[in-house]
Amino acid sequence: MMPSPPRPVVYRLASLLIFALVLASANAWLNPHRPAWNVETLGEGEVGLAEALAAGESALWIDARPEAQVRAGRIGNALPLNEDDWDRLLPRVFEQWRPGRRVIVYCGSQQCQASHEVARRLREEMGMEEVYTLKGGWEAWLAHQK
Amino acid sequence: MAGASKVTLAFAWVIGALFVYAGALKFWRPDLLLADIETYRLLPYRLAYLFSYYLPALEIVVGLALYHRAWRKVAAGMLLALCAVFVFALFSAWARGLDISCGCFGRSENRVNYLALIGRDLLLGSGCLYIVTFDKGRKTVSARLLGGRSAAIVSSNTEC
Repeated sequence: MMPSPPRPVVYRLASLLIFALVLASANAWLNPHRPAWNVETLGEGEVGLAEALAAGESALWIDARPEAQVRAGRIGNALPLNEDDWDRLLPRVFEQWRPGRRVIVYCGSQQCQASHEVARRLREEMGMEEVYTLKGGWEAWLAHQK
Repeated sequence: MAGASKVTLAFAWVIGALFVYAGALKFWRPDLLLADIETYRLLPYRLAYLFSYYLPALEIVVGLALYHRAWRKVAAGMLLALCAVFVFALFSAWARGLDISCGCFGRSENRVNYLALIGRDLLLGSGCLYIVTFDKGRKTVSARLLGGRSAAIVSSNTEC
């Protein structure tokens, strides 16, 4: 007797993949939290390097990378602030901050999450309003220096 | 064997619920999931963009499919493959020393403990493997109508 081909398995597998595709398409069509299709587009709460540099010293720069990396090099007079040493480093930030002053947070690269987390905590826990993350982070800054 | 089928059912319910929950958390915020996927640095941006919509939908659909007897084995196989992909991605990010956000259950996990995450995925994968191995699949129509051993014999002779 010939072994029967596993057609039901293939049909079910294909069906599940198609159901998921339909659901994902509906979500892409209806969901308001649509990410940018173009990688160059700024995300929510992000600021580009050119705009950030234009703000210059009027903005308060915060480096969310580990302190050892900050000591090795940072943008301008950026203050270190990361989640590992939050309580120790935060007072220095508050010394420099005043209401209405723009805060720009960056971390190592476009893919790191530290700047987003620090920015979120500054907004939500500290009540700071003008807090942005630098798109591309430290890598974008280095590329700009070359 | 009745014990084995109860264990299979329990695994299916628990794993199904976990994947539906994880998918639902991510489904509403593809923008956050995309940022999380980007931290792994494994996919080009636009492929990651497509995954940020497709992955939660797939987790929900396949998680729900685990609750239906006819679909359980296929769904468990797909989730097993997904777990393998997740473990690979985590190992890869760990080996490269990346600062990632897991993206597994929305944004609930800010600090990544690689060992715990890999262990969790391996555990889920083991559950899926158990279902794939021991789930008996759907009963044939005659078996359901007639029931018992004679029906199984009839079905093995006529419907395979």
